[in-house]
Amino acid sequence: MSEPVMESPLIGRPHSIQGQPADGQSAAQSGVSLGERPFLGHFSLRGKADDEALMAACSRVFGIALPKTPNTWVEGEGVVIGWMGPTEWLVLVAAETRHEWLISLREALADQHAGVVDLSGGQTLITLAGEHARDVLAKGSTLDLHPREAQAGFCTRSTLAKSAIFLRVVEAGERFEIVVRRSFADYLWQWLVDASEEYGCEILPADATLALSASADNDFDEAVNAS
Amino acid sequence: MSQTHRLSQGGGIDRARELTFTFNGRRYQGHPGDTLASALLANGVSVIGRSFKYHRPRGIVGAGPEEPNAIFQVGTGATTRPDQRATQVELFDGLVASTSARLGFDPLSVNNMFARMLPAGFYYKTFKWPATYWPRYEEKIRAVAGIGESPIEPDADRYDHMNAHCDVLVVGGGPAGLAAAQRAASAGARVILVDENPAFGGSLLSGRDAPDNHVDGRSNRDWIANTVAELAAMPDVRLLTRTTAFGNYDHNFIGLMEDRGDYLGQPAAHGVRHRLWRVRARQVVLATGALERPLVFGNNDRPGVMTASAVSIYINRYGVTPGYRAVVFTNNDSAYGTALDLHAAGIDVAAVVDVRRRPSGALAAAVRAAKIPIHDGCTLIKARGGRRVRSVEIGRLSGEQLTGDRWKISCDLVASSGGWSPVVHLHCHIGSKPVWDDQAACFLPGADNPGQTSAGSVTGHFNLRDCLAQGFERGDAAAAAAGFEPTAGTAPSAPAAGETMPIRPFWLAPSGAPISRGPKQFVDFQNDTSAADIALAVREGYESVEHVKRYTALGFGTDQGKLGNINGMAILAATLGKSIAETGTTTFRPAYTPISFGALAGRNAGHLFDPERKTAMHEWHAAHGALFENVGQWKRPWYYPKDGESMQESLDRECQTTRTAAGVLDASTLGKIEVHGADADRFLDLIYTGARRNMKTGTCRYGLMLHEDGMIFDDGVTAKLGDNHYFLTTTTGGAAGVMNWLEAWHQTEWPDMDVFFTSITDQWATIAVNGPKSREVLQALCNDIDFDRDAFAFMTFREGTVAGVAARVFRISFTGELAFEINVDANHGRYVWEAVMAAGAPYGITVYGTETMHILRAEKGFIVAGQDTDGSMTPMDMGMQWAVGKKKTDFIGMRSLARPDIVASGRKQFVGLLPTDGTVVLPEGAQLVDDPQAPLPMPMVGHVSSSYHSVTLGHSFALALVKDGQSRMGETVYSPQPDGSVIAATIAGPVFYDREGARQNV
Repeated sequence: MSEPVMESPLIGRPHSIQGQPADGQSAAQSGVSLGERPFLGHFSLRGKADDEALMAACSRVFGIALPKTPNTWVEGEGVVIGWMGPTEWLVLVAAETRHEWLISLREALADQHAGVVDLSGGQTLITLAGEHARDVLAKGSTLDLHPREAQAGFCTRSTLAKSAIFLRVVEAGERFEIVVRRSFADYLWQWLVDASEEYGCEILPADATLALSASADNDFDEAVNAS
Repeated sequence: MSQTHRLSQGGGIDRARELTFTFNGRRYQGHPGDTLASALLANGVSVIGRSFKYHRPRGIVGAGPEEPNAIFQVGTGATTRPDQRATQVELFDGLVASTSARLGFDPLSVNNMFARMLPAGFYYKTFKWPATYWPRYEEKIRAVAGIGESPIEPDADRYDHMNAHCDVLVVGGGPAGLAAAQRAASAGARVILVDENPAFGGSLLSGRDAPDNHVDGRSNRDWIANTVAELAAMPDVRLLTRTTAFGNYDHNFIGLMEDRGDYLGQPAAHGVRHRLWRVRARQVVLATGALERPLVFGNNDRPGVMTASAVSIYINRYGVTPGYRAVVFTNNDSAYGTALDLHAAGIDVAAVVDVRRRPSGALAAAVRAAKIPIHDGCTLIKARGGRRVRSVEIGRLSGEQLTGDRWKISCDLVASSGGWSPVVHLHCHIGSKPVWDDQAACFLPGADNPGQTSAGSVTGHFNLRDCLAQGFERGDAAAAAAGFEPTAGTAPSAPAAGETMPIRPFWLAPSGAPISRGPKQFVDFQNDTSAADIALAVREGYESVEHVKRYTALGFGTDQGKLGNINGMAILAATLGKSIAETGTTTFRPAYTPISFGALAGRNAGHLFDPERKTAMHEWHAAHGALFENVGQWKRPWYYPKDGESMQESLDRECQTTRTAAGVLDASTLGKIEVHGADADRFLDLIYTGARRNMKTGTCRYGLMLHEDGMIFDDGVTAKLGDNHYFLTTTTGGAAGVMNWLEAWHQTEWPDMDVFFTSITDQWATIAVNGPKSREVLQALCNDIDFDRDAFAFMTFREGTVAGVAARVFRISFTGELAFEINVDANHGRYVWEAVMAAGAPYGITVYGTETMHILRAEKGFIVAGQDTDGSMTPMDMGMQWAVGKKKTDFIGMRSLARPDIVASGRKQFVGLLPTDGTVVLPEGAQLVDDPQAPLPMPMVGHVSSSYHSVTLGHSFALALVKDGQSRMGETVYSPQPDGSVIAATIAGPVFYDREGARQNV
């Protein structure tokens, strides 16, 4: 039997695979770049923030404490963790580390009052960056993403156009990540391309790696020292 | 030169370039910077329309949003726009505009001769009988009234919405607005400044470039350019021109519409035509300015009669004079400025007619110095002329009456000013009432709305110096209220205003005849409402301004009474013998000026109207000829016709192959929820009618969910993954509702329970393999699950790999056949699907869609919640007592199942129906009766919920809800059809095929 093949939910949108700028625009002219990071590990982690044993177990496995401040994300070694709600976190890891993470997470939390649900096949991540990225989001979101209001480290569940999303501010005002449910991805992608077009939109090649900030190591060290 | 009324100099137009445009089929020239109105005036076009009722010739009256007459159809084809105000339509090369009115001889202008027979309420009084005829009358009336046309072609343009947030929103970019924006921005606030015009500057753009109009010692245009450049350089300032703040809503939510395409003729490549801005502002400064009111006198609608400020605007902003011999008619000082503008442009001002005696003040003195005759204490009685004003009749006043002394002055232009009406619309949109000010003779904004303030002439300050100072101060205050420290600075300075003389309110010029006999004195030009109509409404008993508005149509038009309403209300007050304050205004509602449907729709149109949710196998379905059906937001394959097949032929083939060999359905859209937590058992026991806590890990159980009223709202299968760990399925359309239901009960009623819900609908691609050969198909793909009949029992599941992909396989059946549902990570969905198709090929496997799914499940009497149930059926009604745990002490809806009405007889019950003629398929939704000959209203005993033709059974069949149906087996019911035919059917049990359940038991 051949090796199983994975397909991104954007399979019907060839731009995302081939990396062509939309409609003949060159990358230099574009005010927005759009891309997909397919096949990442997406895990929903459920538990209680006041459960100290759970928090300690999480810190051990992630090397960083779960964010308890609403609407913030943190970054550990090879992992991004976003606060989704009082009892829920979204854990993002690179595609090739997905299975190891899932195993080690389930092992680490086996005795805890917690649950890990694998959502890797049910979601994908869309990147949106550039001078006009914020304008594109403003067309379908009532969030105020001005750098003054939403700094790097901000994340939220929200809606964009008519789709539920998880939004992460990677770089204030400039770089955003949108996690969307698989079945809405095709709609949301078309919406984003349409909303971006007036600014010139570059479509980046699909990239199955996790976006980590350059300063991740420092944060990681501090977190370990702190815990 | 064709531009007969273009001045040789002045105005902000680009004289070096010429634009060609077409109006009613004739070609004209204008310049960049012109509006359609200024270009028509430049070409000496005086008659631009006919009035609504009397078909009187009409000309351009105003220069902005208040224009009532120059309402045109602009553009052609898919992008044609009706009801465009020529005064706000920017000229571009190739512009095509038209009016549906006849500008030459209009046979319907005879209406004018019979005007006395067409009073207020004429339509109500005349076309009242018979009531059913109104649609026909309306069609005729509309046809003659010349209302514009909507495009009938699909709109090819793009529209969008933009949400914006700011600390200070300034509405209006005149002197006060610019000063306010500049101050707020310099304090560090995020500022949005909007103006409906193509350029900022407001009244400064139309003022004479004279030292008494200068700001900070600079010319108007210099100061504007400098201030705008300074604002534009600040990073957190957004400047929006051609953008109308059309609505002010609660909590400082303001709607703006930006024109990004109309002014160009078509939007830029990849651009949008209109953008709807939804602004949330911490503070709002309303610097919306004021509109001039005309004076009301006889035949005041003759082309060439305009507001004085419009005349000034045409001269100073566009370099156009609307006439060559003017009479200025006023009750206040500002029109003297217009006289000076005309004079400076070299236009003969025949007279200034002022209702005030001995006008004093600086402007009057300047007019005297220019040797322009002033007729003080006088009024215009009426205008003369047909297609253009030729002269005016002037009379001397004694109080409000004429002395009898009358004379005539010839002219081709009348510039009239009855004072200024602040644009209080936005202030009033959220319910605030305007307040009448006797001194200024106008309505002013009442107390500030929370988080909002007003600045400039909207507050009744009509001189530049005051407006600048107020804008400066209100900008600082708004920034401070938004949390910013104002910087040091002084207000922009303008020369002190000279001596002024107060306005004399003057609402209706006397004509020397009874109001209904004299020449028509128009109040609302667009609706042909005259002072006599208002008087008539009062005589007929109307007192409330809101009723008079509706009876006379005052303020009904696209201009919403911007020009005429205050005059109308004042005339009403005088007729009623009340004060204007007592009479009040009608309600100001959004939108300030009309906004397009496109802007409202934004991007929510066409393929983006609503999300089309797709499964991981969608592209495969599309490539294999599936026709899709919308199920909720999902696109589900409906059926897969092969070459030349009819729908029924496809369904017959799909059904037959599935029942005899194997068939595959994409069941990924079913809602799936993972439930875990120490109290998961307890929680689900309360949610489902059946027990969950006694389930064994690895097993599945069908379940019903009821609302509190005991009625079924969703169903599905629960699989027990481990201790207090479950996997639920829901209906496709009900998934979100079930998720919300679980969360609502957890969060509001049982927050102490330790239970978590996670939607995993999208995580799993679900491939349902049905049919006698399904076991062989699975065995070919899977070597780590034992598919033996007893080892892998019905209603259990196994974990393993299918086609090399980790999978959870359920042995459950929605067809009654031996069946397996394979769940894999959706990223692998299409890969496994293709593997299943390949493995099934030796058995002739078919793919089938929702329609075959429905036939197969209905043959087995399996319900679809939401199709066979409609929120009014209990489990007992559906014959599903077996799904209700008899030993359970509580679940949602349980108590309701014991209500007297629920246990009483006479409820509709779920049954099967066999049409007497097996070739006839009952329409779904059809009502059932016992006696089709019964007199109307015929008693109805039930309805059809599902109905199909079955190739397996060889005839049609249906599922239905029939009163006491479960005890009426074998009886006949009838379904009368709209075409008069009657379909007879026999009541049967709902299971038509394999009643013993033998087929899945293999």
